[in-house]
Amino acid sequence: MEITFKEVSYTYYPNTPYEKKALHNVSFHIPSGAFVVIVGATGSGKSTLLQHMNGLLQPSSGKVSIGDYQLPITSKKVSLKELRKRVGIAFQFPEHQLFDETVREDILFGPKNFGIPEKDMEHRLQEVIHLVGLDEELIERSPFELSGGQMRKVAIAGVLASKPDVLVLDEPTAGLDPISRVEMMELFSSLHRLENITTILVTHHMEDALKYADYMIVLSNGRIHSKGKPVDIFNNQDALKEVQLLLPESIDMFHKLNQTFDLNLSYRGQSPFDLAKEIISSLGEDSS
Amino acid sequence: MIKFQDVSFRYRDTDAWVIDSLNLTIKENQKVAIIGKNGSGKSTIAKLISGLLLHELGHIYVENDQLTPENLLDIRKKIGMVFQNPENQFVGMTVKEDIAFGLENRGVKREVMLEKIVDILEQVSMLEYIDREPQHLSGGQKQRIAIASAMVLEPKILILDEATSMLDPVGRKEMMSLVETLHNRKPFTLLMITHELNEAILADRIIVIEKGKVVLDGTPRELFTHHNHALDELGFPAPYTIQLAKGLEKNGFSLEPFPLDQEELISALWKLHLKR
Ligand SMILES: Nc1ncnc2c1ncn2[C@@H]1O[C@H](COP(=O)(O)OP(=O)(O)OP(=O)(O)O)[C@@H](O)[C@H]1O
Ligand SMILES: Nc1ncnc2c1ncn2[C@@H]1O[C@H](COP(=O)(O)OP(=O)(O)O)[C@@H](O)[C@H]1O
Ligand SMILES: [Mg+2]
Ligand SMILES: [Mg+2]
Repeated sequence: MEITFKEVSYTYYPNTPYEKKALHNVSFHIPSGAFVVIVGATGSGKSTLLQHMNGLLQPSSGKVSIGDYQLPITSKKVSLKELRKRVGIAFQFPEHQLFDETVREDILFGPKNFGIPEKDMEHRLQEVIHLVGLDEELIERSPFELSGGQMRKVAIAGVLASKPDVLVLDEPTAGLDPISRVEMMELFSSLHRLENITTILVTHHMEDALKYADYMIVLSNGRIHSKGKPVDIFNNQDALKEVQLLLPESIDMFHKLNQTFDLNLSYRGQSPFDLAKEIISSLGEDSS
Repeated sequence: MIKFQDVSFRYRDTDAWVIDSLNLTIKENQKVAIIGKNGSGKSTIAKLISGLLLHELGHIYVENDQLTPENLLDIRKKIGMVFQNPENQFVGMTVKEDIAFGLENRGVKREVMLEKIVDILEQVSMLEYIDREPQHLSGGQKQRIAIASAMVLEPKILILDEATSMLDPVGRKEMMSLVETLHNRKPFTLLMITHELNEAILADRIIVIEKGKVVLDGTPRELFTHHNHALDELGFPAPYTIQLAKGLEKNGFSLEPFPLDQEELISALWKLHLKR
């Protein structure tokens, strides 16, 4: 499903002392099947933006369209249920998503609600807990009696269980251990490639943005600061600093090496081991 | 000083041990990073130290006092803790009240209170949010407030449970250097639980927890040298810079001292380069 924001603004608690304008005239287009990574400083409006994508928030002004859906919804006849079935959203805090008595019930809430046959339930449950790498022993526990990273996995499993066409993921790897984080990113990447799932993901890991994004959107103070391919975004180091972001460790290393030793190494996603060989051969040439 | 002596804990009598005969001594003013897979017991350890959970077997000592149900409130006063989910620690209706709450509890006088609150909020770049509701902040802003609430108390022991997991890259660095600055100014024991190895490297000591036990314990330099693969094998691959340094060493460049960050790597390479 394609997603379009047109001049979208959003204000929390308008006309009260708590009024806070969180988005200002945000416009962009996400083609169906894209993998888009949104980055930005703390408080820049990322979560506010994502919550428009399944109608949890409706624009204070401007328009959002998600496939055939239009926000703001003006008619009472339009139900959000179909939209929520097709757009799965994982919140920044998994606790905000979890509510049921057991992990099993929690994960299967979506599929039940959206009318999946009873006989397919167990299979669906097994499928998603394996995808997210959740320990099977945990399924009869209360979702609140889990470690932070385990809750994260349950919340994401619950989103995947409804088989949405669009995945909206708000810092989905915060709280995951390093291996789980890699596996989770690989999972999103393979769902995107193999099942053509439109993916919108917020992260503070620039390395992941570089590796997985087709396209990036940089937010700053509720506005779009820049958008483009990761290589182009990360080419503009000064602009990134302005918005509290840093280069991925790998690209930063290339810059520093080139500057210090007057080399011409170029980043092509090579492994640190391959880079080591390149450094050695170029430093060698240099001194001979 | 924190000491665990054969400590075991489980959440329910019928469960397996979550903390399993744990032995661990952390010296006064040491900076310790705790890493471990999801569910390994890190947060549980943090809650045992602060007496939010009570251990079933063994003994825990905090600053030489044995932790018991009777003295738990006194011990807790020495500890500042930032929870993995900052929402679980907010008590005030506004950011100001929230930070004031802890100060009041520790008998800080009203006259100096506001000054302290303003000062710490400035240090975490959140002063403009002083009258806002903590629950209505963004995730990273909540983390900044939680860090401020704990640090303003100037505790003898500061426990950060993934306290920067939702901060942007610059914000994360700022928070770590703030902790560092405060530690230099007036030392305290620091326990930081993290999944970021780049953050763990900043500690004096890294401890790896697996199934409620310590499975690896050493200084960052010990654990990250080129011939030590223990961290890798436990599921903690080295950061990019260190992998690069290992690659250089494998190819015959010997870097002295073995670099742990970008600056050290560049300067070790520079030295080699000059020698040629
Ligand atoms: N309230 C609870 N009731 C029952 N079991 C719990 C509870 N909290 C945690 N556990 C279990 O105890 C074990 C250790 O949990 P803990 O929260 O200490 O892990 P952790 O190392 O902090 O993990 P993470 O990296 O995911 O935060 C896990 O198996 C978890 O499922
Ligand atoms: N529920 C809310 N009520 C009022 N203000 C909010 C709420 N949620 C977020 N904000 C404010 O809106 C701005 C953007 O927040 P958010 O979208 O959560 O940022 P991000 O996800 O980029 O960190 C911040 O200044 C934040 O304080
Ligand atoms: Mg957010
Ligand atoms: Mg934890």
